Amino acid sequence: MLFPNAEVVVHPVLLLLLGLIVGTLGGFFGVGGGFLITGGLIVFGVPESYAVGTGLALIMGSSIINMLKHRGLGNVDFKLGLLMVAGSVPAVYLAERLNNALETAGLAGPVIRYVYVIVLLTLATFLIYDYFKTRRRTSADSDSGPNTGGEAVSTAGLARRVQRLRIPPHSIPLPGRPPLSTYVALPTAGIDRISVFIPLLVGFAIGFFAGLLGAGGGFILMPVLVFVLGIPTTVAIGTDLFQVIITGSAGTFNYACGTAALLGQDCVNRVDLLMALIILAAAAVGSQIGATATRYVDAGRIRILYGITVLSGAVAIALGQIAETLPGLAFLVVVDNWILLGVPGLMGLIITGLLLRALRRQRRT
Amino acid sequence: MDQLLTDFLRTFSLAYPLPWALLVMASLGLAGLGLHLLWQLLLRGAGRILGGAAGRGGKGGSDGGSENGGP
Repeated sequence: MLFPNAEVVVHPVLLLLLGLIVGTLGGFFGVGGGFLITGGLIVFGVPESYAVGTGLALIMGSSIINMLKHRGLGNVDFKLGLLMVAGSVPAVYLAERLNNALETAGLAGPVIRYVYVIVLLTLATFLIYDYFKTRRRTSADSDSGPNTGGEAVSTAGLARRVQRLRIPPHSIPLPGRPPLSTYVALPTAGIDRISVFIPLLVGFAIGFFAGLLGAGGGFILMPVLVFVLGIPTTVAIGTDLFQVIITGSAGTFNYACGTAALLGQDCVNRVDLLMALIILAAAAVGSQIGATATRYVDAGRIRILYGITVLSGAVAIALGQIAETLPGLAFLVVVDNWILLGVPGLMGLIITGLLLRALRRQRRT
Repeated sequence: MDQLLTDFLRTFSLAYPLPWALLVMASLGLAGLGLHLLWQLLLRGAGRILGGAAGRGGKGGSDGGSENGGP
């Protein structure tokens, strides 16, 4: 099938398969899946710039579906999401300035890949360490039934301290009105009182990484919400998706030349609308599987599966960088592609299997 | 028809960048919303049929509220 914007021929079944995996992982982990979509499209022969642009457009669409599904499950804290978005907007702008400076110096590609690998490896190591540490502490792990188990994390003390932080100013004076408190309650996230500056700072940090790495930032935000702010895993997933919609929309507008048109600059569109819509149709199916599975799968198990997926992403990117640096090891690109698509595909199957098993058990009881 | 769509996608994106960017965002946003609603209807319908077959089991639709005690 010919895709007119990217001017490339791709078999639609491949795109549907990619969409199914992206939707399942997005609904289950609360991530946009930028590295998977972009990497997958490049493997299918889509030019890199179109792969990134179309990937961002798809992140926006699939995150809307996933977020709506999680909203129905009561997993989205809109107040927290809006505060983080407010923090991330200036950070994305700053990161893009840094990105442009790196590009001018000819360092953007390798620096971004090294930062990506370091961030992903740190995240994966921590998630895996946390899983085994908390599992040793609790023996109440179960893969089915109400999702109340597995919420214990090794950083519970840190999260409590972060929630109790008092950051001045404690109120903002308003003319002719009572002062506005800088503390809010986030009932959906299970937080009675927190300084607004904390979610703003978290949003700023995530926005900076998202802007620097050219990603939605969801893959960092979900663990930060769980381990630093102490939010339940399912709420972190839903709220994370809300943030990804905003960053994905901004990226899509940019790659579809909206920003350049507003500024009166020349630009070449880098989004293939038809391709994004086909992948989105399949992602909608996967999203139902992934998001529904979060109701039944133990939160600790969600996090360890996420850790393994993140680790595979780090290995794939590292192999890609090694293959580029050492031409003698060019065969690593093939291994890299297999890991990039194979591990998330396997995760999709595991998530579907866990959901089916839980549903079968529920029907028996 | 295919050719018409191909020509439209090619020329519109080149000639009208701002409306094109808005079209991309609106198409994906609406498609996302539409697909979500479609799946909700399908799952609710399937839940009713399965619930009816099981004979007033009280389980309701397949896509009701949260089971993990969320709001």
